[in-house]
Amino acid sequence: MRKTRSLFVLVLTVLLAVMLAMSGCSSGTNKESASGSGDVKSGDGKESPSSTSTPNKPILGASLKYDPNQEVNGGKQITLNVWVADQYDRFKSWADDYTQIHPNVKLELVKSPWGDYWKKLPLSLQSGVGPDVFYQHPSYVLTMVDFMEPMPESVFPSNEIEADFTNIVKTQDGKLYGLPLAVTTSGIYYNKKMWAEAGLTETDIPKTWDQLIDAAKKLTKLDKKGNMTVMGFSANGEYHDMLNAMNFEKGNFLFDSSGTKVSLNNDTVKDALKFYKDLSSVHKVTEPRQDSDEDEFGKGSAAMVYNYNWAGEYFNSTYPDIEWGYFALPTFDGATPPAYDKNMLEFTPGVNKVIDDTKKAVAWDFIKFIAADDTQVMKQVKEASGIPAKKSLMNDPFVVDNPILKVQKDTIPRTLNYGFIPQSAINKIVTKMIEDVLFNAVPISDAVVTAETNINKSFESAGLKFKSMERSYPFANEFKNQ
Amino acid sequence: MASNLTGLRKSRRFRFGSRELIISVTVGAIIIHYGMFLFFPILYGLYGSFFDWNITTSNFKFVGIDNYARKLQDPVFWKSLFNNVYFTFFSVLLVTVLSLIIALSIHSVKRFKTFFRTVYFMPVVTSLVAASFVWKWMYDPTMGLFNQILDMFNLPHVEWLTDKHTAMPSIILMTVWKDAGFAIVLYMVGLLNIPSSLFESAKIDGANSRAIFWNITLPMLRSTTFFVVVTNIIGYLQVFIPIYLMTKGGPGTSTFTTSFMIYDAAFDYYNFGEASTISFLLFFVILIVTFAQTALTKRRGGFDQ
Amino acid sequence: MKREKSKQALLYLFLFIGVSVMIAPFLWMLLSSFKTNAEIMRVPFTIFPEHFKFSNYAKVWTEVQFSVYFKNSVLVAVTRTALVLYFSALAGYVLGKLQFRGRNVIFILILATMMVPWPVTIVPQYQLMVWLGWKGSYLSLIVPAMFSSFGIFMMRQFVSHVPTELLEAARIDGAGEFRIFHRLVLPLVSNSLSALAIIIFLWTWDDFLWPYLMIDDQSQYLLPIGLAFFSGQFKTSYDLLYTGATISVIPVLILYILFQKRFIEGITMSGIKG
Repeated sequence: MRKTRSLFVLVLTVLLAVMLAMSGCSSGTNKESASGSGDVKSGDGKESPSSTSTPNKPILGASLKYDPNQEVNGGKQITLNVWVADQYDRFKSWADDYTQIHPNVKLELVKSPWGDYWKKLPLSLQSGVGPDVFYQHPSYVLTMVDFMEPMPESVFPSNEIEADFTNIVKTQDGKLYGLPLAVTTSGIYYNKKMWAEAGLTETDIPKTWDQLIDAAKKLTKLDKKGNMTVMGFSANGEYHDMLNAMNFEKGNFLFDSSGTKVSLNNDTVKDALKFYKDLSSVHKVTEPRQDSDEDEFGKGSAAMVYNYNWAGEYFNSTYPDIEWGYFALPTFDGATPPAYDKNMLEFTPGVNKVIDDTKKAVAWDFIKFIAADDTQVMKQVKEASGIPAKKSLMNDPFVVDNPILKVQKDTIPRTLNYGFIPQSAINKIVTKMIEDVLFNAVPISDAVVTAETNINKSFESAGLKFKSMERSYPFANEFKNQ
Repeated sequence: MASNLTGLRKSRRFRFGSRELIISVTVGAIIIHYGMFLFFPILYGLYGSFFDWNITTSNFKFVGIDNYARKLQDPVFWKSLFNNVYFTFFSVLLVTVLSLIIALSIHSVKRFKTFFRTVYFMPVVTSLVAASFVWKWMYDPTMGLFNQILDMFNLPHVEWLTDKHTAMPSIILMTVWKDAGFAIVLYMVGLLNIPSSLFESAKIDGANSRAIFWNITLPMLRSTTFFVVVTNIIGYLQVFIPIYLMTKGGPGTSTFTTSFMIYDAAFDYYNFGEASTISFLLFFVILIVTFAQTALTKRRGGFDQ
Repeated sequence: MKREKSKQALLYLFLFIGVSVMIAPFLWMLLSSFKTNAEIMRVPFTIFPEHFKFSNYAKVWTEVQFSVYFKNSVLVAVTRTALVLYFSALAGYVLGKLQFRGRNVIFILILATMMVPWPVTIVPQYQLMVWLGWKGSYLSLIVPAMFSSFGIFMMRQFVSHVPTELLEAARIDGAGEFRIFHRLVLPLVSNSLSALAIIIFLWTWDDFLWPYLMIDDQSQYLLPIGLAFFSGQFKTSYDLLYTGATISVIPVLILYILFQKRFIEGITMSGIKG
């Protein structure tokens, strides 16, 4: 009894000490970064050209120019909180280059994995405790648009931007939230070693989906118990995108003519869904799994995979032993389709609406630096292995020699951009639809109806305002459902 | 109690003493705390379930019973309830039966009792998050422990978490591993509390061990069994962490449980209105189950034997 | 006699098979944490690592900041446990030993809240934390959990076993109620408190979803969130993932083995007296 009592007293004392220590620290870390700029608002770097000392650093950019000699935040210390998902290295390099020019600015990077990032970012912005600057992706712009600051015309004049950039996308009310840096789309990666082992050569590169199935059959390997050890082809984790691509190849828009409601309950989507299902159930060249095909490819359990441009760099860094090749998405008849797939843009970072003007000025200065300096844009281009969205970089050696971009030179003009649509919600529901068909034996005709209803209902209950830009695609007239 | 009451009268007549102070401070704190962190959220959630409520678009539009009507017609909601029942039924059944068998065995052996109890209890003190990850990797189709063991016996692979038939059983298996130890310990205590004279007189009467088990052991463990079953049912109907970390409700909707559906609606679609609606529907189900159990417990004599 | 012997042998066989099933995941995790990634991914698998690679631990502990997560987890779990213990005992004393109007209503309401499933409150509580400005701070993890219905329920049972005569004697000596509670009641129920402490500590240590939603700053992560984020980020570095899992499992396991008698006592008290 006595022993336990003294033990208890001891425990209580420790607890008390810890609590005291805590009270000082629980609210600490988060606010620290904000207090960096606790001074009075002063000339924000841009508007007031503060005493330009001898311009010793060259001015960057063609039309949109960045002058590195101009002081930011009046030369006073300031810290910005920057959130990134998987793009830590690129942001670090941007931040390092920027803070070298402006040593008074500190950029604090916080990184999280992709899926968690998109869960936490909108919620944090919504609750007013989010980061100052953050990585943004066009698929998620709509969920965050209420908490983002549009790009100010004073810093990014329309005429200068239009002179320098292609693929500029604005929201429905004409606001700009990020400048495009690179454009990417989908294609097929194949394992060169397996390709050769199966007796395939360069001439076997498939032009049609049927040819792809033939090649996949040769690449598929089973062990003696019948387990599929190598899938000839896989789009696991990406099948929603692949279904969308097949839909476009057949000249079928995802949205109905209003541009605000998706249309899945039609024969084209059903055919595409059946085609995908047959890959595993009839042709037995793939096995639907809840996995990501880029990792299946890297681990050697898939010989060909559908994926976007970024996967190439991912293989190089995560699975350096894999020797991969790349070819354009096959089509159904081998001819040029109305569109191969959608394209995805990589953007400059977004800026939190609620931060003070001093911070906003620094944030825009940082973003202008990224957009104006070709070296910085190239970092994004290389990371994503995308076609540059900046006219000055179209003939950069990297772009000319890159195995993916070589192929995409021809296909990217035949890819389509939706503008800002609730892409993540669509992806999730379409994925669920495909999985219902693949795993749960739901009839295709039922699955498309359910998915269509759910997607449109989710737009409605979120009260989202948007319109798909599908029908302003240059080759929109080649589509069936006008 | 009587002296307590006189003490109360004496002090209350004259002053607002330490007794009144401690009561008002404690009761005040309880009322504020429960009001703020429990009753307010419950009422606010109920209110919100009648709205199209999206926190990222700041949409808050009254829709009446629309959310409820839609969810009740949604086959995925019913599927999620089915999954809940499926998971709960088999987890509770396996946990209860296995832990009873193991507790009886430990009770009957002569040595290593503490060792066995210690080991079987280990998963209980293991973080469920870590356990979910480790089991997920053990279920991996190519490099996981389970398929490699199947390989050793030359058996075909099982797609554990990625096959719609085996995904839920795989999660149930992990749950049984994780939670059996708790019930084992409760049963061991229950067994110790059975007076040994009961067994002796039964033996003298010539009862065989099977008869002893069904007529003495099991009835005497009734309150323990009730406790294990009741607490586990309520807990398992809300299962979330292993689903979230191991399958995210898939493949398809084969492990999509109601709690996961709530999480999905709220924090993937930011649809707080729909999430609130589903949670009240789940609440309703749990209330029914709880009342049914209480009624049953009363009829059968309950915890107090 | 012979039959009894073979029966014992069968029971041991059965129990030891069970033991290996129970321990296998722990061993698999622990052994894998010393392997290289290549060795983990190799088919057929190795049981023991070819070379024990301790550097995984150094890497996870410092580079991946598990040392920070670990400290944070201890801090939050200890603080929360202390507060829950104190308030549970206080409420247990007031509701169990003092007579006043409305006492039973309050107690029944507290009991009723134990039936409310967490999904019902999580969405509005999230919104509440945003309004209060507690999101991103440990306040959001600690304050809403200060009162535990389970803890109050348990402590009320235990406090009601304290002899009323003892309390009366103290009152006659002129002791105030707070003094009686702190100096007399608390020490008398310290055994039950340590049992409750163990349960609450475990719950807090393992709490995942709420901290995951509330805490944004990487330097404030707790172990379970750290582990979840970590496995999203390093999804192909199985060596580090197993190491991270080991780090979040082993300390509690060691504590359990050291104090297992008390652990078991606590668990059984919570169960049987319920």
